[in-house]
Amino acid sequence: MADDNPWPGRKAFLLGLKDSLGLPAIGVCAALFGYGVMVHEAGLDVVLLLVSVLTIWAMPVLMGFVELVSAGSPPLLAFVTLLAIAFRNMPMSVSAIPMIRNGPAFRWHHLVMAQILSPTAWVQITVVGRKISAPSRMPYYTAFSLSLLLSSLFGAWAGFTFTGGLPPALGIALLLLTPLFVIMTMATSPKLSSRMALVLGCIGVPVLMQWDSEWGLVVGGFAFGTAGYALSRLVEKRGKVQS
Amino acid sequence: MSVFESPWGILAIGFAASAFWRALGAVLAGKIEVDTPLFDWCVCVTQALVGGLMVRAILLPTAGLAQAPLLDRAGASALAIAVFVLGRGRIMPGVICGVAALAALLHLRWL
Repeated sequence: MADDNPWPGRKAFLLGLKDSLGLPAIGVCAALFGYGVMVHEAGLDVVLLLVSVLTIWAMPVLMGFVELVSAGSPPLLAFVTLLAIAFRNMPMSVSAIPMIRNGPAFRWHHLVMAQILSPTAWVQITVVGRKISAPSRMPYYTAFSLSLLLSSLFGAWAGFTFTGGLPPALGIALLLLTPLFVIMTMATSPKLSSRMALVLGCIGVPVLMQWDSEWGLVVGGFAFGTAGYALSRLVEKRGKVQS
Repeated sequence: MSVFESPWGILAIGFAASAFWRALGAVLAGKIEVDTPLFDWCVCVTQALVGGLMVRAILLPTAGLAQAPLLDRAGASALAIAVFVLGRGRIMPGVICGVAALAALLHLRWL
């Protein structure tokens, strides 16, 4: 019997598109606008900008990338730093992919699904995903994520292209956009340990980088991350004892 | 200069680092528990590292932002964080206030 609906996921795809084309798309577009301005200021070209957004597709790693390029970091340091920064992608994939896929087995296209995953899409699929049927989740997620990616590419391109025509004060002020956006996004973490590590890292890592501009970042990340984790465990333990 | 020291080389490293964790996550999805102390610790290290890098980009910039005085950058960032905290974690109002404050301060300074 012929299937009268050649594309059963069409409705879910359109819903994903509709849900992304509002605040989520505006948010990533604005954040990537700032990234485009930064890349322009770093003297890099627009092709590198767009390829970096497409391939890395994670704001902290993109920021790390442009900072390391600006500082002329050696490849080994760049690898260790970016590997540590990009770790956040793993728990995100582990928890999001089971929500999207059909069945428990690994399929090669899950790698593509993981590659287009962003924190915004992760939140969306873990919250909204439960409300839609399992077969509809893949087209929904694909539309939502691709729409965010396209918005980001547009934002980055616009930031890069139009920064020269902006009033100088605004052009410089826009460089503040992405660092603030990344810090605030990380500060919304529901875990106390993550928030404590963020605060300690924000204070301690720049100080350590004054001591050693290259390895101070990695050493500081591990030291203050561990300190934040230990401190939060202590606070939680005390809270349990008192209650 | 080796290939990996060029911007494209660093980009290749960034892509490899990013794709590695994503792929590993996709392969291990459903097989491991992410709510464990080890995962928490790894996320803490990332938070500290990225947070430090962002603060450094604001307070000790190598280009661009360096044209703005430290006091203006710090003041605008503090205002942004205050709006973010008072707004119960709403990101965009905080970011917009910070950028607008720095633009206004620079504009007034350069009048």
